[in-house]
Amino acid sequence: MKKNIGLCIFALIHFYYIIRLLSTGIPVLETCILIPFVTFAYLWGFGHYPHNKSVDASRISSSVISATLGGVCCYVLSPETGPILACGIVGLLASFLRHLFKDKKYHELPYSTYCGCFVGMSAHAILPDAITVSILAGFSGLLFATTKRSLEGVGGRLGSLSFASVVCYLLIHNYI
Amino acid sequence: MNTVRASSISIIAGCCIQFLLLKAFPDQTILLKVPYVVCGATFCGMSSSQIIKNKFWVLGCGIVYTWIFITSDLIFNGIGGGLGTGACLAVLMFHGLMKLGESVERFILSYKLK
Repeated sequence: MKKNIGLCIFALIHFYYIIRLLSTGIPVLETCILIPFVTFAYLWGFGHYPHNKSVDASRISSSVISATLGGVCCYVLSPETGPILACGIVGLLASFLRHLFKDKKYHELPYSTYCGCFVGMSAHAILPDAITVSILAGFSGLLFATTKRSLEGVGGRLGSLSFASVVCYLLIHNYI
Repeated sequence: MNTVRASSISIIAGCCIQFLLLKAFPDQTILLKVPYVVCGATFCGMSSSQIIKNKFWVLGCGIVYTWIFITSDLIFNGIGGGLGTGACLAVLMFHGLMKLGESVERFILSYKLK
């Protein structure tokens, strides 16, 4: 179980997304047809992906700090430029971090910063202040460091981690 | 070029294309969604070659992602990471469908050989 913690996190996020997607976005008849199809396709893809099950919890601090910075920068920029362009600009700047820090242990910095960036893309109505964004971006950085070896090479995994941190916040905020 | 830079440059290019298109067709409000679709689709393209075998697979992932985007647009509006999660699902679903296709093909070939 401990070894599969990253995969469990991803599976939970994706099933939450699929259930919300199919329960509210599509008419009932299509939903009945699509639920087995989407779930089967997802499980087949998830099962046939060559998972690397080791958990790498090192380099947590650098991931958390860079994700926090990325999230706050994107959040501050987004009213001026729009969230997508803000994400593009912060991501482009983050991609050069690899050249600034030559040490091999900092090679993941662009990815963790980009991960935090997605939290900063949230609407200001949902995440009201920069402090909340910094905490959630830091949490997404922590998730990134913890689940680094899970679903490696699958596009959108960084977004999934940011989505998890924002959804956790929304669930806690709405129900507690 | 690493995947983060490739994705960021594609996103900035998508925003520039939207800006130019809005100048040419100011009444087309659907163009406002262009950067969002481009952004999510770039996440599909960030996949490794182990998952996405060739350019046609990227195209297939893009099509699956577009369906997810159209459906989820109003549900996850304003939630950070929604585009990335949709892209991740699209990649895994397409990967699953392709693997299923390969299995069916192998089964048919073995059946023919018998």
